[in-house]
Amino acid sequence: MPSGILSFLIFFPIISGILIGIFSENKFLKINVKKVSLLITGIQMILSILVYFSYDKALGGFQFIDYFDSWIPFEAFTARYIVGIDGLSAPLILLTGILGFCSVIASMNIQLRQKEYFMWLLALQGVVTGVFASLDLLLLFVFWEAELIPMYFLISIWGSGRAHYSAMKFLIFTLTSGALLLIGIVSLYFATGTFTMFDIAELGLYGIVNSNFSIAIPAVFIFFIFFIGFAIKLPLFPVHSWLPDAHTDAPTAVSIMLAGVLLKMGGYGLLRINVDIFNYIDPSILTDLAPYFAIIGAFSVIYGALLTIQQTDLKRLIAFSSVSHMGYVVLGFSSYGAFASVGSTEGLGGTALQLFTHGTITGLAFLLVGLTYERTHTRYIPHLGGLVNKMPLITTFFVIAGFASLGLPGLSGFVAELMIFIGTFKMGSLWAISTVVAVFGVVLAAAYTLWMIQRAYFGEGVKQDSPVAKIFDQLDDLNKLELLSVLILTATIVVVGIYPAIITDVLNIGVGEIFTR
Amino acid sequence: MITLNDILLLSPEIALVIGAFVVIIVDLFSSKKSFSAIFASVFLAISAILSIVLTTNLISYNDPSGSSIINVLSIDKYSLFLKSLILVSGLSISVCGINLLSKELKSKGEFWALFLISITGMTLLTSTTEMITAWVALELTSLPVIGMLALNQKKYSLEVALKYLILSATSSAIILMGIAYIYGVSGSTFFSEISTIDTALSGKFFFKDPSNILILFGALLLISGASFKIASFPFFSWVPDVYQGAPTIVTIYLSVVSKIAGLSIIIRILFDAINNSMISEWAVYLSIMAAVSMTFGNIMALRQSNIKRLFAYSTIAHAGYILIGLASSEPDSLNSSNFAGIQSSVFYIVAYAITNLTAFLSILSISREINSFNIEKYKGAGIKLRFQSIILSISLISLLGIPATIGFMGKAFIFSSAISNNLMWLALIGILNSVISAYYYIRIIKFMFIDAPEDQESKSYSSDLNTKIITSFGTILILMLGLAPAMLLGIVEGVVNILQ
Repeated sequence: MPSGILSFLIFFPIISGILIGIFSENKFLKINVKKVSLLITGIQMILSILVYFSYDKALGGFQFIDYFDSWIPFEAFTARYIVGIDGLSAPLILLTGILGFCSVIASMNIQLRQKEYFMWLLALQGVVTGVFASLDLLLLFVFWEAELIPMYFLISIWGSGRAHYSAMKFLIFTLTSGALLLIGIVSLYFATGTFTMFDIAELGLYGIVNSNFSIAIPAVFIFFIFFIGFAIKLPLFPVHSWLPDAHTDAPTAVSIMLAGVLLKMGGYGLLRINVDIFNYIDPSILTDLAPYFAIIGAFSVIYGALLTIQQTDLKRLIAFSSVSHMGYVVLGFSSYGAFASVGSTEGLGGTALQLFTHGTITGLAFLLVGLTYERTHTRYIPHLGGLVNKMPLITTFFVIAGFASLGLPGLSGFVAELMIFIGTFKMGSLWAISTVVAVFGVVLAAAYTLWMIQRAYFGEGVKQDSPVAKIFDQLDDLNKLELLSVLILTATIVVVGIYPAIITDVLNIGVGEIFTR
Repeated sequence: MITLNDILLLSPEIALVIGAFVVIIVDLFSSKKSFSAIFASVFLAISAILSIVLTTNLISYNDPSGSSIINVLSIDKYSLFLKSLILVSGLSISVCGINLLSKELKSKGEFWALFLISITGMTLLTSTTEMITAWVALELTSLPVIGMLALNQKKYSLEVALKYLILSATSSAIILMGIAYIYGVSGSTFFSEISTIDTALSGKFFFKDPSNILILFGALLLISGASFKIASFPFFSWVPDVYQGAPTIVTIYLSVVSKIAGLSIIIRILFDAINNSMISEWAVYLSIMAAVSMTFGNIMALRQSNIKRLFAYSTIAHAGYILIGLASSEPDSLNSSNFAGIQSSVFYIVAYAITNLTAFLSILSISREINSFNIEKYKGAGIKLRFQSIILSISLISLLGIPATIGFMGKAFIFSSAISNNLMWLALIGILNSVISAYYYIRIIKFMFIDAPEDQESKSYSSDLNTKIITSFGTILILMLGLAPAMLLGIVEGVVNILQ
């Protein structure tokens, strides 16, 4: 891969988006904006797959580094433009590439203010790639916050229901999370004198890891600032309330990006900063607090699942299931100490894998819900039923997504959750109890997933008083383009389920390096 | 003796004063109303160019201390930098005023003459190194503003002018009181002599020495009085009413130019006149001022429906952010390992000036077309006045402090300086306040771009060309310096260094 490939992945969609915005009066763009966006994200997807597979596993460490030293070149405040990927972030770059393409396919029926829509959607993809690729904390923060503006417009202009309210709620919650991050990042800077996260030997850079840590602010305070910031984004009980609203009211493509990629920023942050960096600064913080995180994680799993069962809106149901699934991330995160006590990193590896698998599974589920909604014009479960007769393909793939989500062996969700359970159970005591509790989350997931599919897609058909009854005969199945996006996601789920090493080989390098820095 | 060199150094001010007289004379003989604004712009431009040339000259001759004129004015890098900022902001306002003012104002010649005189006061304020001169310069800035407010000839303009007059007089009295205290202890009104008095006692024994207490008390009175200029706690109650009732040009002038001048004299007093050993004492007071201004401004702005009033509260909040930087300027933090607060304050005032000027000029241009300052009436402005609305949105995002804008860099530096000086609580209050501010800034963007317009009338709207050009420049600066702040930060660092 040529150098500069990561910068290209970040800025290509952003600049294309801006150009679409500037030349919105152009006749060619007016007709072809959808094709152009499809082309751009297609290139993105192919490049991100290439980048992922050309990550040199034997070499490890950070690769594809792009570096520009004089972004803010002051002795008292030095921030660099530096991007690169390691085993932890490479799968997430891949995930962003795949979901970006699928989300553009999911937007083919957008009619309102098309060029603006694709401008924001493309910009969003570039910015999120930037979050995963940044190796400088201030740069990471810039991308983290910049993601807000596209999201706000996408939800509030093209959303449905109480879109303004949900968009504002999303904005305020995420800004709060960003505010906490900024405090944490700047505190780390003054403790260590650098924003660069890790040592980059070939550039002669020293990172936060391995620098002298000295500050009047206690490290545990900084740790919590980061933890709360990421928990809001993840989201974790009790700061999850923005998620169902934002998901339900967002357009399909944005739900896919939100659940598939944006939530992963929170999980990635936990692994990258609260585990990776704090493993150097003060490992005892995480080992001391880990049992409590296990409890919070398990509680979030069960609480999210119980809320999910009660939902009657297809999209809201999947949104709440995300809260439950992100609970596993925090549970796996709490098994940090396993490396020291039993010498295993399954828990953290499972967490990282869960980020990837949940991205594809929930992305697929939201895509299918969106496609169903486009046809039936309702997501209210009691109004649906018997859709399998008219949409056999959508139903089939929804069943696959559902099974993957509840952790059926052979599909990707199973591998991630199993790794997390093994990792945390090994730790014994409170972790084991939390794991046992969290396993019931899988049972509940089976309950809500299967029950939902039963009611909406199978069953005896649409009731007579339902609005769908009138249009039931005109319902059609997937077209070719939609089938392509569904197939891409399904393939990812099945391949990772059957042969998890395709992701875990890379992930394990990243997780292993946490403890060798 | 005043030499030729002194006249050269004072040439920006001299150009302004000549300009004020020319504008009045031109107004007597010309029938065309926009003439006086054009003449005012020309003289402001001359003055700005002179000031910028002097700045670059000083930088190239590497003479950071500058020269002093009859001991009361110091023309140095610091004063010339802020002077240039004031003059360029003033120039932008007057250029936009050429076409935009006619609706709001009946008489023009006097208005622009007063405008130039007031700016003269502000440029003098940046370079004063003596208490009485500072006081005279402060009065020179406020008195013409009273005239500018009252010239509006609407029924509430007298009320607004009177309000401004009374509070301005009160703050002047308080400043005089502060000067008296400091003179009483030090026996001098010159900054350089005041700073040399012995304040060896510090820390635990600080308050044992009555002269310390008196100087500190005097300094606090001075800062409180000057807070009238930057619209922060404790003298901010005039801001909402005056901003709303004043002609918009005057509102912009008060919210941008006046704030730069006020900040320049506060920095001079704190870092030039008052001995460094007192920093930890007055920093506490500044932190309180900052916290109250931010919280009050942001919370009050949430429920405003008039955009000028909303911006009045938002400028109070921004004054609070600026003060955070000053509050976190412990002397040992000025070495290179920590981030200097005063530097971040000066950076922030530049960021604020560019952003607020762009935002306010766009508001003026949009509101003039849709004939209302009510935010609800902004519905659909994104379609009717697309260009100006996009510019306003970018500047609002910058005021909110989202990355890729200069506002973000300003806030990042401000909060960094607070954290590096162990003022974590102040940084937390500030950062949560900036989250609150998202609600009202984004609400304006929502009205412009997301809500459908109320009326479907096909009237064609066009915004003013001058405003378009100037706000475009502002937007380019907002984005450019937001992505690569190094250049401006370098200048600011050089400018601030001479104060220590």
